Amino acid sequence: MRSIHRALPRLDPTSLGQHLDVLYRAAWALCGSREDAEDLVQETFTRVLARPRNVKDGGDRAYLMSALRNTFYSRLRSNSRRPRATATLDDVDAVESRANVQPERAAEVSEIFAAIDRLPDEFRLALAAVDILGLSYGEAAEALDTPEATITTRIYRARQRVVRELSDEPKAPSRSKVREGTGPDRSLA
Amino acid sequence: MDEEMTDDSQFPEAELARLADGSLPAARQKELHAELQRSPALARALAEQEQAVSLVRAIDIPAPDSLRRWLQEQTQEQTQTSPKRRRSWPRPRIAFPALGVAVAAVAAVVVIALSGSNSAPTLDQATRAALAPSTMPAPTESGAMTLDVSAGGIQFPYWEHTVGWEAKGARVDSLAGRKAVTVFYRDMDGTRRVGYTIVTGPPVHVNGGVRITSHGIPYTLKRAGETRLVTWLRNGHTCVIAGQGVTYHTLLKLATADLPA
Repeated sequence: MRSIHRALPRLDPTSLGQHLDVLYRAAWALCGSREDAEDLVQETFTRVLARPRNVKDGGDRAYLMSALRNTFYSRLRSNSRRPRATATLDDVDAVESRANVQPERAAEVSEIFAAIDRLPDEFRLALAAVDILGLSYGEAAEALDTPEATITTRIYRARQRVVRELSDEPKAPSRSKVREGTGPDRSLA
Repeated sequence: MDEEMTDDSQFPEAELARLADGSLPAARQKELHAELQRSPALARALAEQEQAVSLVRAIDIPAPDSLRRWLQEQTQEQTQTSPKRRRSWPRPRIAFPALGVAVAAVAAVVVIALSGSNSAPTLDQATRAALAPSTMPAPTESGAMTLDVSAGGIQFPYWEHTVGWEAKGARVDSLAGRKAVTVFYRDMDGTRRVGYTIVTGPPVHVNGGVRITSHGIPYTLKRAGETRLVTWLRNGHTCVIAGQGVTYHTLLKLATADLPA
């Protein structure tokens, strides 16, 4: 195994910057907040840069996804419980307005990430690898150490859940809702 | 495949996922498209996949500049030394125990603010009013695209003929001693409901959220769980439109419905 690694080309640290944006977005999808995403990306790069890495040609991004996933799980273990923000009306997931991001677009993005955040870990990882980082299903399977068939199924279900979360239609009918009559407001008192 | 599929577990999930993002082999694409034409349920499932692909893959938020600078420094130094943690991270960090104390303190303040009759009304209270059940009959049109209900001299809009939302009821609350009037609207399908609340008096304090300006008027968009709201000022009074399962786009469309095109 060691000899195989020696044969692989060395990961060029100066090329890492080109993956920063997508890795940050993938981290945001995993963590559910941009603050945690920044920390996760920083820790991932710190680990990757700690020593020379051998990565197969064109496999930088998949390697980084694997490193991101390992760091993510490592942080989960060390935190014992994944910290999650509790939204209140005065402490909501405000989106930082950047000069090049329209506020309405930023709000939409924030909602997409919030919908992704409600997915199970495995679904988030698959979605982050394929739809955010842009890996092929095969690369994602390798990076996440999961069979490719499982990855595709997780992707399907993750996408389905995200779209339904974001749907403008009412959610589950069991959700308690205030009911109103169509005529006079006799049921509203 | 003549029968419409109703159970997702029968769907070729992997193939639909691949078809949606273009990674399904061309030969199989043809076959699957034929199946899609025979099954509306399958077609809907594909549409969901395609929608998710377009939404998620369109996210283009860049990494923060501070993180980019840090990485540049690290990669430049990498050949000489091992990477260092960022020394001048601009975001303030709070230790978790301290954060817990801070959150508890904020929660205590919120409880006091909600229960105190002398405090100013909060956006939280106004939003609760907008989500509450109505207690009065539906207002009627009073002409000039307005309803026969007003607060602080502002008449509530009549939306039935403009954006297709019908007034269904109303309520009046006293929030920290201030009058707050709410009119409830439903869309024509009857599936979505919003409450339009006007809190009279000085502006209600608004924390955070996303600010957007339309027709020169600043609006703030906020979310808490399923609830989304838009808030802005009209003649100095605070207006809030809030609903559950309603998008920001819809809320903004309603908030700006009465403005000139």
